[in-house]
Amino acid sequence: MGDRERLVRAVGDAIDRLGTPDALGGHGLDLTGAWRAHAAGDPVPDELRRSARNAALVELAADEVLDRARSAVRQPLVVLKGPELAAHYPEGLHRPFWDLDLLVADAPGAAADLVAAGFTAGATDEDYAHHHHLPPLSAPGLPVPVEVHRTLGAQTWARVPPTVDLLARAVPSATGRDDLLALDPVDHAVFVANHAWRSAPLGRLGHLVDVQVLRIAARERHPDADLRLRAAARAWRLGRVWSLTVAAIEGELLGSRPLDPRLWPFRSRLRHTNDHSLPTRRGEFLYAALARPLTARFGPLGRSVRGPGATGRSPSSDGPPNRPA
Amino acid sequence: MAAALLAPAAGLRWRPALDELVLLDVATGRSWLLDPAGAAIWHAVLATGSAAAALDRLPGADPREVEDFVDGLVAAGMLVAGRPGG
Repeated sequence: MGDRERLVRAVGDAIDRLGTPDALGGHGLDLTGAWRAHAAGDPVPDELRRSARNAALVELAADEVLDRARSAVRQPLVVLKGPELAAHYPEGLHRPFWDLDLLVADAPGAAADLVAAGFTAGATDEDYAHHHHLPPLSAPGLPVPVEVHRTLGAQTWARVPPTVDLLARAVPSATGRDDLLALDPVDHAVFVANHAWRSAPLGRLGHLVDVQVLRIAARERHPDADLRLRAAARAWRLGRVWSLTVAAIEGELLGSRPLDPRLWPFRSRLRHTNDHSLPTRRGEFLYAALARPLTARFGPLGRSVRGPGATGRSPSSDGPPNRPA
Repeated sequence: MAAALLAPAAGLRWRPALDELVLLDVATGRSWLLDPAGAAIWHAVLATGSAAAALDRLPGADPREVEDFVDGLVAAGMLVAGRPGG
Protein backbone atom coordinates (compact mmCIF):
# COMPACT_ATOMS: atom_id res chain seq x y z
CA MET A 1 0.00 0.00 0.00
CA GLY A 2 1.39 3.40 -0.96
CA ASP A 3 1.63 6.49 1.21
CA ARG A 4 -1.50 8.01 -0.28
CA GLU A 5 -3.62 4.90 0.08
CA ARG A 6 -2.44 4.52 3.66
CA LEU A 7 -3.42 8.11 4.39
CA VAL A 8 -6.85 7.80 2.77
CA ARG A 9 -7.55 4.66 4.76
CA ALA A 10 -6.37 6.26 8.01
CA VAL A 11 -8.55 9.31 7.48
CA GLY A 12 -11.51 7.07 6.71
CA ASP A 13 -10.94 5.20 9.96
CA ALA A 14 -10.74 8.49 11.84
CA ILE A 15 -13.99 9.69 10.28
CA ASP A 16 -15.72 6.48 11.28
CA ARG A 17 -14.40 6.85 14.81
CA LEU A 18 -15.33 10.52 15.19
CA GLY A 19 -18.80 9.97 13.81
CA THR A 20 -20.68 13.20 14.34
CA PRO A 21 -20.64 16.15 11.94
CA ASP A 22 -19.60 18.41 14.80
CA ALA A 23 -16.57 16.31 15.59
CA LEU A 24 -15.66 16.03 11.91
CA GLY A 25 -15.93 19.80 11.53
CA GLY A 26 -13.78 20.35 14.57
CA HIS A 27 -11.08 18.18 13.08
CA GLY A 28 -11.36 19.75 9.61
CA LEU A 29 -12.60 16.47 8.16
CA ASP A 30 -16.20 17.46 7.45
CA LEU A 31 -15.72 17.92 3.72
CA THR A 32 -14.05 14.55 3.31
CA GLY A 33 -16.75 13.08 5.52
CA ALA A 34 -19.46 14.51 3.26
CA TRP A 35 -17.94 13.20 0.04
CA ARG A 36 -17.11 9.85 1.64
CA ALA A 37 -20.71 9.35 2.79
CA HIS A 38 -21.98 10.44 -0.62
CA ALA A 39 -19.68 8.03 -2.44
CA ALA A 40 -20.84 5.19 -0.22
CA GLY A 41 -24.48 6.01 -0.91
CA ASP A 42 -25.05 6.82 2.75
CA PRO A 43 -27.28 9.67 3.90
CA VAL A 44 -25.31 12.91 4.20
CA PRO A 45 -26.19 14.95 7.30
CA ASP A 46 -27.31 18.50 6.62
CA GLU A 47 -24.23 19.99 8.31
CA LEU A 48 -21.92 18.05 6.03
CA ARG A 49 -24.01 18.90 2.99
CA ARG A 50 -23.63 22.57 3.88
CA SER A 51 -19.88 22.08 4.14
CA ALA A 52 -19.81 20.67 0.63
CA ARG A 53 -21.87 23.57 -0.73
CA ASN A 54 -19.71 26.17 0.98
CA ALA A 55 -16.52 24.51 -0.22
CA ALA A 56 -17.77 24.43 -3.81
CA LEU A 57 -18.65 28.12 -3.69
CA VAL A 58 -15.29 29.05 -2.19
CA GLU A 59 -13.41 26.97 -4.77
CA LEU A 60 -15.31 28.67 -7.60
CA ALA A 61 -14.60 32.12 -6.19
CA ALA A 62 -10.98 31.26 -5.44
CA ASP A 63 -10.36 30.29 -9.06
CA GLU A 64 -11.62 33.68 -10.17
CA VAL A 65 -9.72 35.59 -7.48
CA LEU A 66 -6.51 33.79 -8.43
CA ASP A 67 -7.13 34.69 -12.08
CA ARG A 68 -7.54 38.34 -11.19
CA ALA A 69 -4.60 38.37 -8.80
CA ARG A 70 -2.35 36.73 -11.35
CA SER A 71 -3.38 39.24 -13.98
CA ALA A 72 -2.90 42.20 -11.66
CA VAL A 73 0.30 41.48 -9.75
CA ARG A 74 3.53 42.08 -11.62
CA GLN A 75 5.74 39.69 -9.73
CA PRO A 76 5.86 35.95 -9.00
CA LEU A 77 3.09 34.67 -6.72
CA VAL A 78 3.62 31.80 -4.30
CA VAL A 79 0.36 30.21 -3.11
CA LEU A 80 0.47 29.13 0.53
CA LYS A 81 -1.77 26.63 2.34
CA GLY A 82 -5.46 26.56 1.15
CA PRO A 83 -5.79 25.67 -2.52
CA GLU A 84 -2.19 24.53 -2.76
CA LEU A 85 -2.71 22.03 0.03
CA ALA A 86 -6.05 20.98 -1.43
CA ALA A 87 -4.32 20.21 -4.72
CA HIS A 88 -1.96 17.83 -2.92
CA TYR A 89 -4.80 15.90 -1.30
CA PRO A 90 -5.16 12.43 -2.81
CA GLU A 91 -8.37 11.25 -4.41
CA GLY A 92 -10.89 10.52 -1.70
CA LEU A 93 -9.76 13.33 0.59
CA HIS A 94 -11.00 16.91 0.38
CA ARG A 95 -9.49 19.99 1.96
CA PRO A 96 -11.65 23.05 2.60
CA PHE A 97 -10.21 26.55 2.72
CA TRP A 98 -11.57 30.05 3.21
CA ASP A 99 -9.00 32.51 1.93
CA LEU A 100 -5.95 32.85 -0.29
CA ASP A 101 -2.49 33.42 1.09
CA LEU A 102 0.08 34.71 -1.36
CA LEU A 103 3.77 35.15 -0.63
CA VAL A 104 5.59 37.74 -2.70
CA ALA A 105 8.93 39.55 -2.72
CA ASP A 106 7.35 43.00 -2.61
CA ALA A 107 4.16 42.81 -0.57
CA PRO A 108 3.21 46.52 -0.69
CA GLY A 109 3.76 46.50 -4.45
CA ALA A 110 1.55 43.44 -4.88
CA ALA A 111 -1.16 44.97 -2.69
CA ALA A 112 -1.05 48.17 -4.73
CA ASP A 113 -1.46 46.14 -7.92
CA LEU A 114 -4.48 44.37 -6.43
CA VAL A 115 -6.09 47.64 -5.33
CA ALA A 116 -5.55 49.07 -8.80
CA ALA A 117 -7.39 46.01 -10.15
CA GLY A 118 -10.40 46.69 -7.94
CA PHE A 119 -9.60 44.76 -4.77
CA THR A 120 -10.59 46.55 -1.58
CA ALA A 121 -9.65 46.29 2.07
CA GLY A 122 -12.36 45.83 4.67
CA ALA A 123 -12.52 47.86 7.83
CA THR A 124 -10.24 46.52 10.51
CA ASP A 125 -8.98 47.56 13.90
CA GLU A 126 -5.97 45.30 13.64
CA ASP A 127 -2.49 46.71 13.35
CA TYR A 128 -0.72 45.09 10.44
CA ALA A 129 2.31 47.38 10.44
CA HIS A 130 4.60 44.70 11.82
CA HIS A 131 2.52 41.70 10.84
CA HIS A 132 3.70 38.97 8.47
CA HIS A 133 0.96 39.83 5.99
CA LEU A 134 -0.88 42.93 4.87
CA PRO A 135 -4.59 43.56 5.60
CA PRO A 136 -6.88 41.19 3.66
CA LEU A 137 -8.08 42.40 0.27
CA SER A 138 -11.26 41.28 -1.46
CA ALA A 139 -12.53 41.28 -5.01
CA PRO A 140 -16.05 42.75 -5.16
CA GLY A 141 -18.72 40.13 -4.65
CA LEU A 142 -16.35 37.22 -4.26
CA PRO A 143 -16.23 35.69 -0.78
CA VAL A 144 -12.53 34.78 -0.72
CA PRO A 145 -10.17 37.37 0.73
CA VAL A 146 -6.51 37.55 -0.24
CA GLU A 147 -3.74 37.97 2.27
CA VAL A 148 -0.47 39.20 0.77
CA HIS A 149 2.41 37.89 2.87
CA ARG A 150 5.71 39.64 3.19
CA THR A 151 7.09 36.64 5.09
CA LEU A 152 5.84 33.48 6.76
CA GLY A 153 4.25 33.81 10.18
CA ALA A 154 5.98 31.95 12.98
CA GLN A 155 6.77 32.09 16.67
CA THR A 156 9.17 34.75 17.82
CA TRP A 157 11.91 32.22 18.45
CA ALA A 158 11.68 30.68 14.98
CA ARG A 159 14.13 31.59 12.24
CA VAL A 160 12.03 31.70 9.10
CA PRO A 161 14.16 31.83 5.94
CA PRO A 162 14.16 35.16 4.13
CA THR A 163 11.37 35.44 1.60
CA VAL A 164 13.87 35.89 -1.20
CA ASP A 165 15.36 32.46 -0.37
CA LEU A 166 11.93 30.81 -0.22
CA LEU A 167 11.06 32.32 -3.60
CA ALA A 168 14.36 31.21 -5.11
CA ARG A 169 13.59 27.57 -4.39
CA ALA A 170 9.85 27.77 -5.13
CA VAL A 171 8.33 25.12 -7.39
CA PRO A 172 5.38 25.04 -9.81
CA SER A 173 2.04 25.13 -8.02
CA ALA A 174 0.25 21.81 -7.59
CA THR A 175 -2.97 23.57 -8.59
CA GLY A 176 -1.99 22.92 -12.19
CA ARG A 177 -1.77 26.60 -13.06
CA ASP A 178 1.53 27.31 -14.73
CA ASP A 179 1.42 30.97 -13.73
CA LEU A 180 1.57 30.28 -10.00
CA LEU A 181 4.31 28.99 -7.73
CA ALA A 182 4.36 27.11 -4.45
CA LEU A 183 6.91 26.67 -1.72
CA ASP A 184 9.17 23.70 -2.10
CA PRO A 185 7.19 20.97 -0.30
CA VAL A 186 9.94 20.76 2.34
CA ASP A 187 9.49 24.44 3.20
CA HIS A 188 5.73 24.17 2.91
CA ALA A 189 5.56 21.15 5.22
CA VAL A 190 7.58 22.81 7.98
CA PHE A 191 5.59 26.01 7.59
CA VAL A 192 2.24 24.20 7.71
CA ALA A 193 3.29 22.12 10.71
CA ASN A 194 4.19 25.28 12.54
CA HIS A 195 1.05 27.08 11.41
CA ALA A 196 -0.99 24.21 12.82
CA TRP A 197 0.92 24.44 16.06
CA ARG A 198 0.15 28.13 16.29
CA SER A 199 -3.59 27.78 15.71
CA ALA A 200 -4.63 24.51 17.39
CA PRO A 201 -1.65 22.60 18.75
CA LEU A 202 -2.21 18.87 18.50
CA GLY A 203 -5.91 19.53 18.29
CA ARG A 204 -7.03 18.83 14.77
CA LEU A 205 -6.48 15.74 12.65
CA GLY A 206 -6.92 17.80 9.49
CA HIS A 207 -3.69 19.60 10.35
CA LEU A 208 -1.89 16.29 10.50
CA VAL A 209 -3.34 15.35 7.10
CA ASP A 210 -2.04 18.66 5.69
CA VAL A 211 1.48 17.92 6.87
CA GLN A 212 1.36 14.32 5.71
CA VAL A 213 0.34 15.21 2.13
CA LEU A 214 3.28 17.61 1.99
CA ARG A 215 5.64 14.95 3.39
CA ILE A 216 4.46 12.70 0.56
CA ALA A 217 5.00 15.51 -1.97
CA ALA A 218 8.46 16.16 -0.53
CA ARG A 219 9.39 12.49 -0.87
CA GLU A 220 8.35 12.57 -4.50
CA ARG A 221 10.50 15.61 -5.15
CA HIS A 222 13.54 14.79 -3.06
CA PRO A 223 14.94 11.28 -2.55
CA ASP A 224 16.30 12.42 0.82
CA ALA A 225 13.12 14.25 1.82
CA ASP A 226 12.93 13.01 5.40
CA LEU A 227 16.47 14.23 6.07
CA ARG A 228 15.72 17.54 4.39
CA LEU A 229 12.55 17.99 6.41
CA ARG A 230 14.32 17.42 9.71
CA ALA A 231 17.19 19.67 8.68
CA ALA A 232 14.83 22.43 7.55
CA ALA A 233 12.84 22.24 10.77
CA ARG A 234 16.04 22.48 12.82
CA ALA A 235 17.25 25.40 10.71
CA TRP A 236 13.95 27.18 11.35
CA ARG A 237 14.40 26.35 15.08
CA LEU A 238 11.22 24.31 14.84
CA GLY A 239 12.78 20.89 15.31
CA ARG A 240 10.61 20.05 18.29
CA VAL A 241 7.43 21.20 16.58
CA TRP A 242 8.35 19.03 13.63
CA SER A 243 9.24 15.93 15.64
CA LEU A 244 6.04 16.20 17.68
CA THR A 245 3.95 16.66 14.56
CA VAL A 246 5.51 13.65 12.85
CA ALA A 247 5.06 11.65 16.03
CA ALA A 248 1.36 12.59 16.07
CA ILE A 249 0.96 11.67 12.40
CA GLU A 250 2.63 8.30 12.78
CA GLY A 251 1.41 7.47 16.26
CA GLU A 252 -2.16 8.74 16.07
CA LEU A 253 -3.28 9.37 12.50
CA LEU A 254 -1.54 6.51 10.69
CA GLY A 255 -0.99 4.25 13.68
CA SER A 256 2.27 3.12 12.13
CA ARG A 257 4.19 3.29 15.41
CA PRO A 258 3.35 3.63 19.10
CA LEU A 259 2.28 7.05 20.22
CA ASP A 260 5.19 9.11 21.52
CA PRO A 261 4.83 9.41 25.32
CA ARG A 262 5.16 13.18 24.95
CA LEU A 263 1.81 13.08 23.20
CA TRP A 264 -0.08 10.96 25.71
CA PRO A 265 -1.65 14.01 27.40
CA PHE A 266 -3.09 15.05 24.03
CA ARG A 267 -4.47 11.69 22.93
CA SER A 268 -8.01 12.51 23.94
CA ARG A 269 -7.83 15.88 22.18
CA LEU A 270 -6.69 14.21 18.97
CA ARG A 271 -9.17 11.36 19.13
CA HIS A 272 -12.44 12.65 20.41
CA THR A 273 -12.76 16.13 21.72
CA ASN A 274 -14.71 18.83 20.01
CA ASP A 275 -12.82 21.47 21.92
CA HIS A 276 -10.53 22.98 19.34
CA SER A 277 -10.40 26.42 20.84
CA LEU A 278 -7.11 28.04 21.59
CA PRO A 279 -5.29 26.58 24.56
CA THR A 280 -6.03 27.81 28.02
CA ARG A 281 -3.39 29.86 29.78
CA ARG A 282 -1.97 26.75 31.42
CA GLY A 283 -2.28 24.76 28.22
CA GLU A 284 -0.62 27.52 26.28
CA PHE A 285 2.37 27.30 28.58
CA LEU A 286 2.53 23.55 28.11
CA TYR A 287 2.35 23.75 24.33
CA ALA A 288 4.97 26.47 24.24
CA ALA A 289 7.21 24.49 26.57
CA LEU A 290 6.90 21.43 24.36
CA ALA A 291 7.53 23.27 21.14
CA ARG A 292 10.30 25.66 22.04
CA PRO A 293 13.89 24.70 21.47
CA LEU A 294 15.85 24.57 24.71
CA THR A 295 18.00 27.51 23.71
CA ALA A 296 14.91 29.64 23.31
CA ARG A 297 13.41 28.52 26.59
CA PHE A 298 16.45 29.43 28.57
CA GLY A 299 17.68 32.31 26.47
CA PRO A 300 16.46 35.87 26.57
CA LEU A 301 13.24 34.95 24.78
CA GLY A 302 12.53 32.23 27.29
CA ARG A 303 11.27 34.76 29.80
CA SER A 304 8.42 35.77 27.55
CA VAL A 305 6.56 32.50 27.32
CA ARG A 306 3.35 34.47 27.74
CA GLY A 307 4.46 36.98 25.13
CA PRO A 308 2.88 37.32 21.71
CA GLY A 309 5.09 34.63 20.28
CA ALA A 310 4.23 31.94 22.79
CA THR A 311 1.66 30.49 20.50
CA GLY A 312 2.14 33.15 17.87
CA ARG A 313 -1.55 33.83 17.42
CA SER A 314 -1.66 36.82 15.14
CA PRO A 315 -4.30 39.49 14.67
CA SER A 316 -7.34 37.64 13.40
CA SER A 317 -5.33 36.59 10.39
CA ASP A 318 -5.29 32.86 10.71
CA GLY A 319 -9.03 32.46 10.63
CA PRO A 320 -11.37 31.23 13.28
CA PRO A 321 -9.93 28.45 15.41
CA ASN A 322 -12.24 25.86 13.91
CA ARG A 323 -11.36 26.67 10.35
CA PRO A 324 -8.41 25.50 8.35
CA ALA A 325 -6.56 28.33 6.66
CA MET B 1 -28.23 29.47 -40.50
CA ALA B 2 -27.57 27.30 -37.44
CA ALA B 3 -30.16 27.43 -34.67
CA ALA B 4 -29.18 29.32 -31.56
CA LEU B 5 -28.32 26.92 -28.76
CA LEU B 6 -28.40 27.55 -25.06
CA ALA B 7 -25.04 28.04 -23.39
CA PRO B 8 -23.83 29.21 -19.97
CA ALA B 9 -23.61 32.96 -19.55
CA ALA B 10 -20.17 34.48 -19.67
CA GLY B 11 -18.66 34.61 -16.21
CA LEU B 12 -20.76 31.75 -14.91
CA ARG B 13 -18.82 28.96 -13.21
CA TRP B 14 -20.15 25.82 -11.64
CA ARG B 15 -18.95 22.99 -9.46
CA PRO B 16 -20.60 19.92 -7.95
CA ALA B 17 -21.38 19.77 -4.25
CA LEU B 18 -22.21 16.09 -3.73
CA ASP B 19 -25.26 15.55 -5.95
CA GLU B 20 -26.10 19.26 -6.11
CA LEU B 21 -24.55 21.95 -8.27
CA VAL B 22 -23.24 25.31 -7.09
CA LEU B 23 -23.10 28.09 -9.67
CA LEU B 24 -21.39 31.45 -9.31
CA ASP B 25 -21.57 34.48 -11.56
CA VAL B 26 -18.10 35.91 -10.97
CA ALA B 27 -19.08 39.25 -12.44
CA THR B 28 -21.82 39.94 -9.93
CA GLY B 29 -21.05 37.54 -7.09
CA ARG B 30 -24.53 36.00 -7.38
CA SER B 31 -24.67 32.30 -6.64
CA TRP B 32 -27.24 29.57 -7.09
CA LEU B 33 -27.71 26.03 -5.85
CA LEU B 34 -29.35 23.46 -8.11
CA ASP B 35 -30.82 20.35 -6.51
CA PRO B 36 -29.93 16.94 -7.98
CA ALA B 37 -32.76 17.06 -10.54
CA GLY B 38 -31.85 20.61 -11.52
CA ALA B 39 -28.19 19.65 -11.80
CA ALA B 40 -29.12 16.81 -14.15
CA ILE B 41 -31.12 19.20 -16.34
CA TRP B 42 -28.25 21.70 -16.33
CA HIS B 43 -25.76 19.12 -17.57
CA ALA B 44 -28.21 17.77 -20.14
CA VAL B 45 -28.88 21.23 -21.56
CA LEU B 46 -25.16 22.01 -21.72
CA ALA B 47 -24.58 18.78 -23.60
CA THR B 48 -27.41 19.25 -26.07
CA GLY B 49 -28.12 22.98 -26.25
CA SER B 50 -31.87 23.00 -25.64
CA ALA B 51 -34.57 21.80 -23.29
CA ALA B 52 -36.15 19.67 -26.01
CA ALA B 53 -32.92 17.93 -26.91
CA ALA B 54 -32.02 17.52 -23.25
CA LEU B 55 -35.05 15.31 -22.73
CA ASP B 56 -33.26 12.50 -24.56
CA ARG B 57 -30.78 12.46 -21.69
CA LEU B 58 -33.38 12.71 -18.96
CA PRO B 59 -35.37 9.49 -19.04
CA GLY B 60 -38.67 9.76 -17.21
CA ALA B 61 -38.51 13.54 -16.88
CA ASP B 62 -41.68 15.56 -17.39
CA PRO B 63 -41.10 17.62 -20.58
CA ARG B 64 -43.14 20.52 -19.24
CA GLU B 65 -41.19 20.64 -15.99
CA VAL B 66 -37.89 20.53 -17.82
CA GLU B 67 -38.96 23.32 -20.15
CA ASP B 68 -40.14 25.46 -17.26
CA PHE B 69 -36.93 24.87 -15.37
CA VAL B 70 -34.81 25.80 -18.38
CA ASP B 71 -36.93 28.90 -18.92
CA GLY B 72 -36.14 29.83 -15.35
CA LEU B 73 -32.43 29.43 -15.98
CA VAL B 74 -32.70 31.67 -19.02
CA ALA B 75 -34.75 34.24 -17.11
CA ALA B 76 -32.12 34.30 -14.37
CA GLY B 77 -29.45 34.97 -16.96
CA MET B 78 -27.65 31.72 -16.27
CA LEU B 79 -28.26 30.35 -19.77
CA VAL B 80 -28.09 32.50 -22.87
CA ALA B 81 -28.70 31.88 -26.54
CA GLY B 82 -25.42 31.05 -28.17
CA ARG B 83 -24.07 28.96 -31.00
CA PRO B 84 -22.68 25.44 -31.07
CA GLY B 85 -19.28 25.59 -29.43
CA GLY B 86 -19.88 29.23 -28.53
